[in-house]
Amino acid sequence: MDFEFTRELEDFRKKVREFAQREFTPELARRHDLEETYPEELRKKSVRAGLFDPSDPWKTLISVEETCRVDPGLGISVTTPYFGGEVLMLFGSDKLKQKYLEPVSKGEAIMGLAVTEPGGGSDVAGIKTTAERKGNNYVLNGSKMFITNGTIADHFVLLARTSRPDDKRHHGLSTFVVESSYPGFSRNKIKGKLGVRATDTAELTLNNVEVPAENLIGEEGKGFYYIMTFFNISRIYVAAQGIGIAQGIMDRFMKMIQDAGDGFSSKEEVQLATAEMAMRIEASRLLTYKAASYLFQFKPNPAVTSMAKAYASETAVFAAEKAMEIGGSVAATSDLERMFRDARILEIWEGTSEVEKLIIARMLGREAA
Amino acid sequence: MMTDEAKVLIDSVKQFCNDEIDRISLNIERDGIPPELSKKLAAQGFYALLPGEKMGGAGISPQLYFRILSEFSVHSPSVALQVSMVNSLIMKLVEQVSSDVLEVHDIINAVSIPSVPMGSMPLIPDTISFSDHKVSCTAGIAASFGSDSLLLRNKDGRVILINEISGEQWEDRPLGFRGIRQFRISVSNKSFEEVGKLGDELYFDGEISAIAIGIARGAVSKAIEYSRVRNTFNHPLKDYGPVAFSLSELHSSIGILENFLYSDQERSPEDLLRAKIMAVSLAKQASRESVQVHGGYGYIEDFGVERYYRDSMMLSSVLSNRLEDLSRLATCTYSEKAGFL
Repeated sequence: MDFEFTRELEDFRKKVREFAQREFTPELARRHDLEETYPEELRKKSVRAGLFDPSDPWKTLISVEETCRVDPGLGISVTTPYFGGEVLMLFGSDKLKQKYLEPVSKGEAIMGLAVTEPGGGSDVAGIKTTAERKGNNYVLNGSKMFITNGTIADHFVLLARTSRPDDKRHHGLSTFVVESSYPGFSRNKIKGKLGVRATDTAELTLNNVEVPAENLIGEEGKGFYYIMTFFNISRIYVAAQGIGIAQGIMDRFMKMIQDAGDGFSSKEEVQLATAEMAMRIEASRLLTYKAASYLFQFKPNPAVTSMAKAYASETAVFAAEKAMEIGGSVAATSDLERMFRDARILEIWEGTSEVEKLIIARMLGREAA
Repeated sequence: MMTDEAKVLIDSVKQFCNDEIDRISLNIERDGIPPELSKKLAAQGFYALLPGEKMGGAGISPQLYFRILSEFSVHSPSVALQVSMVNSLIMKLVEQVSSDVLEVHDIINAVSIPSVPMGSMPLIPDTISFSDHKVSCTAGIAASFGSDSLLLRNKDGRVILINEISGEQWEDRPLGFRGIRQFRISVSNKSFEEVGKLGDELYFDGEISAIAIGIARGAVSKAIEYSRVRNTFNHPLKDYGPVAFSLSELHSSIGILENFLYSDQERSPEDLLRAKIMAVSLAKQASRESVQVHGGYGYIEDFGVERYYRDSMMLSSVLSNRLEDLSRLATCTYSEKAGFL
């Protein structure tokens, strides 16, 4: 069993790391965090630098990990312009792919995924947004909440209810490509986030938005399955965010305790904390790469994917809290403070840790049955 | 058992928090504690709870004082911290020195508190040096309750006051207690006054316990309320075992700590240290859980939950120091220095 990446991927990792270390300056990271502004120029630079290759999932994973290692807010911002693209790639028509995926793949457009609503996040089947067929269009009404790239995306993969559910709530849902320029579509930026403040988050409102019938992705009524398939992919990238953030925290923590002098780094409590952080990070990394390996060979294992997402997210939060506790005011006045705030979102988005654990238990229960 | 007087005081604190703090709690986080609120706190006597009648204060018991701090902390940890700094630190110093050095009404708005560097005791700046009766110092985080004076403590417990300092306004937002203005200090060759001596009470064990308990109480109360009304998969969140059991355990732990800290029985310094270690840990756990229960809403400032998470970490990493506290606790446990090599 070979745990090493190929030479090509290691070279790519080095390239991403050098880019991030050069371009994600502390001043830039602080400014975007303070002002809650999206780093559009940095996104374009990252596209020109070749960091963005949605056709290669391993490179995407490495990009996420290495950029988040330097700064989570900036890293997530530059690696999510394709968010939701996998739904189109797997289930969309060639026409939809050409019209909506190609510009995004080239870095010329940004997209987002609109599923969560003000009344529900974890309960995907409970969404209230409706899509009623009228002639050659669907008319959409409803609202979406906490949508990444919400105010900057050119279009969204959006989940809506097209028919009343039968005995199963998740029946009757469909996915559409909705352009942000369609009349009746409006969006408001959500401000005041605890962390990842460089990322763009918004509430979307759909008021009789007419969407061409050809913008239906795949089959009507299959939307829930498409979204669940997407989450089984995106969770691996969230796990990559987790290991990147945790490693970035570890990097800074090691420097901080060395700089403290007076033998601070050799205090036993500090050494134990260092070891605990390192163990968790390594375990998260292996779990994430294993889940990714299954998925990228088209043999997805939802249980392992959920384990990776949950564990890597918890590891990032653990590392952040440990570093802050030990680092004291030195940590509180450094980049660690921002990473502490950033890490916390990982246990919430793309499936809370609790939901991930329910998925794990359910999958294991099926295997045991 | 609370006296009637104590009940009246607690009720007046709750009323004040409902009337004057809750409606501006978000603004406090964004823009700081407004001067008008500070004046109202002073006018209600909340800045003079601990000092005795000689100082014009209420002279209340420590237990009642801690209960009041907790109550403030539920509504705004920043306000609780400000009230505790004035009562527990400034007033203590005012008692020690003559009034031509420190005037009470001047002090309430004129003191900055330097940071707690990694592994050090409170109020000691990052660097300090004396030369020709002048002092130079730097501090990474200094809290200001008004303007241009700096209060800091030398390692031997002597407290000095430096007037007319200028600090560098914080460029980013500080991690926590954003209601209190914080900035970096660099002082070069300034005159100073020696204003007193303070010892281990500067760990503020009781005060930090109380503020931490308030943070935990505030965070868990919000989470319990939210879990009653928020539905997922056709059930309110409280119907799910992990949610209900976790919040219930936290609620119980908070209650036990409250009983311990507020009881009529006088608590020793060791008791207060034990309470602080547990309370700070509980505050972090409770605020983390509350953010989680609230989901995406817990991550944005409007719901008033994420500030508990930030403030609890600030309590843990800046206003106290876990390694140092555990070292002190080990000394108490073994009755000799322990846990060091």
